[in-house]
Amino acid sequence: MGTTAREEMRRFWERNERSGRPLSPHVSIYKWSLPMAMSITHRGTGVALSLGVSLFSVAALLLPEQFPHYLAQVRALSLGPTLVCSAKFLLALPLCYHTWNGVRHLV
Amino acid sequence: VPAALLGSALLRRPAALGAAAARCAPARESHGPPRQGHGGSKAASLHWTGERAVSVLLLGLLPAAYLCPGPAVDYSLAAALTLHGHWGLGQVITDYVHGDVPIKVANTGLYVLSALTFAGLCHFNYHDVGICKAVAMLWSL
Repeated sequence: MGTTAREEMRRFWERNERSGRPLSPHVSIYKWSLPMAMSITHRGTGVALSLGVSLFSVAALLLPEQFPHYLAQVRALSLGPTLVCSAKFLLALPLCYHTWNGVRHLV
Repeated sequence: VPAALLGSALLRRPAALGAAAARCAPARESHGPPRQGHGGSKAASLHWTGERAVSVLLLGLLPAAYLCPGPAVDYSLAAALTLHGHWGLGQVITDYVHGDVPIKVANTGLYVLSALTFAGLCHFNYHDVGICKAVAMLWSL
């Protein structure tokens, strides 16, 4: 009947990779646009949030004490409102960006 | 008797396929659609729909966590968060990892990470204060 699209794709990639051609510059030369920047930020925040959640989970599995204990330890450090507020902002920012941009993708 | 009929039917099909394949070997490559019509499964499009569904669910869980914190929301959050993250990281792997072996290794690693994440979140929900309460406590700092 003829080759399928998948077969042609496979042949193309085999020949392409075999020739060992260098990758032409793309991110380093292409003019950045807002949609591009928003998209990669969405991905970046997503990955960061995921890794953060995973880190929290693994910590929950490994650390001996409960959450309130560690929270009390942080409170005992008396870091000052500026630092605490900045830390909250740094946590909230990627979550909010990813959430609202996510809504934009969903709509 | 049915087995014999089945056996002869099975023997007939390969011959038919062989004849069809001989007819199909072209001298030049044609770009027509595959003979079977669809030829593929709906897995990818179902996956896409599933991704959107979980995203919407997770979105709804955020106000729920604020308004009615409790074990139901905690466990739902654990599940939705893990699944959304698993599928998201899976897309990142698909985009940036190339080659059969690296792809397999990366996806296996992702499965391990997601399993650990879900286990950890459930453990936290069960043995510790739970996700909703933890966020509330953290923010009261």
